Amino acid sequence: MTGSHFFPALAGTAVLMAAFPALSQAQPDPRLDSASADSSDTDFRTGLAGSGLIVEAGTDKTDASIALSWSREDPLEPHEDPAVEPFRTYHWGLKATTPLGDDDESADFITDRGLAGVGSLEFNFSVLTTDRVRNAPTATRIAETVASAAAACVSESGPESVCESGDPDALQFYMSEEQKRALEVDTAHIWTTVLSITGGVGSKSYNFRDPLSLAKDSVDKTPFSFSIQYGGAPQVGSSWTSGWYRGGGIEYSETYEAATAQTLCSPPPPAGPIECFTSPYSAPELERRAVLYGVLRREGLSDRFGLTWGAQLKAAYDFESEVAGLEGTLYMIPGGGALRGGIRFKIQTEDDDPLTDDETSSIGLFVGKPF
Amino acid sequence: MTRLDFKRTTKDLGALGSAYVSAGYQRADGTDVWEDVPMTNDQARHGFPDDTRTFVVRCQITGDAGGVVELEVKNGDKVLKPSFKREIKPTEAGRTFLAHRVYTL
Repeated sequence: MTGSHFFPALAGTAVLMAAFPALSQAQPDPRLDSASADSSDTDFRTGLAGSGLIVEAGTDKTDASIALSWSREDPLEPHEDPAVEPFRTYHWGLKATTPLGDDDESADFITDRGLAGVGSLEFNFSVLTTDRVRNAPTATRIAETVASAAAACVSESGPESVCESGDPDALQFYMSEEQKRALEVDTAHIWTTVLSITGGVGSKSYNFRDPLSLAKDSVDKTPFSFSIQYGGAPQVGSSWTSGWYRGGGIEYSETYEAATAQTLCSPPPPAGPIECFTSPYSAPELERRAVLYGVLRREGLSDRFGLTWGAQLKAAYDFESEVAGLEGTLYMIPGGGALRGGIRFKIQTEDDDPLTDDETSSIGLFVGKPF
Repeated sequence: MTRLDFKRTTKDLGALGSAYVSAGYQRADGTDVWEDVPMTNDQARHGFPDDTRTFVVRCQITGDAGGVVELEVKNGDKVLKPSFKREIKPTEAGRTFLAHRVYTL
């Protein structure tokens, strides 16, 4: 079967008319599965994890993480309508975190997913869904317009790089108003949404002393957390509201908090010195959390001083301990640089447990290197 | 079947950034068709009918933090021209763009 329809095409240094036959629908080959994803994001808290190294140092904790991620896009049958199902990408991520230094005194903020200060392994699965542009032009219209504009470019001795660009945007100067209008698209109601599920488990050995004998003791604990987050960013409204991700989630965690350190001395012995020790004098307490949180974020907030600035606010409330917390993050992405980083602050109200020492504020820096 | 290899490189698009690739061409019956070119870890191999000589590659790009998208299209060992690169300025973050290139084999 030979095709009977044609559309113009751009080829090499000249514009030509090329036959455009087709025998059957294209059948995609099995997709490759090799290279690692090149994502800029290395922070699980943003929902999608990239592959990279992250070091975070704050007044509450210092830790280092390595994250690995894989992604796969949802295949779809060939279609004539550009407004068919949205695009979907599935992300899987693994993140291993280890505390740096002695983190017995690590603060435990409810915005931290319950695994602060412990060696942990987190698994993340996310589905990114993006609407399609609904009124996108057909391939024939684009090819015809580009061929016509390229011919005009050549005849007017336009720059070779433009004439051969095959790019409707670059060739706009050589298009009529009608041709430009025919390529216009409406992106005003595009939404991008993310459903993200994260589970993590940690391991930590807690040291304490017996309050009577003052003998050393330790116990191994396995904290864990699980969270689901959903949110999206629309392209409607003003520049101050479009593109802002707004989302929320729930999280359940079981963590352990070391008892407040005290100084106790042994009873006066018949002979020998009195020994005093500063240590927790009871095993760590189990702390269950049921946290509801909301997130507001925009990464491309502004472009100043050679950096792309972004911001995130996360507000959380723990129904178990009745603690409310707020976390703010300022992202800094250097233009063309391999490193990215930011500043993060956290504040939260005190819980009602007098046996544990709670920090209520923290500020820290983080830096990441994607790979 | 004509097989093309696609390799996508994205930089600084952000957590909600995306760059979805489709290829459009005209069928023998004259209808236009778009086919998604789904990527696994930013690579894909896609097949077209043997007699397809001209096709349009579309990339729907959303840059959450600005960013750059580059697409390499290869037919066997040959990298097809024109090159495909689209930069999203940080001030354009959060907006969706369609970028197109017309290729002829």
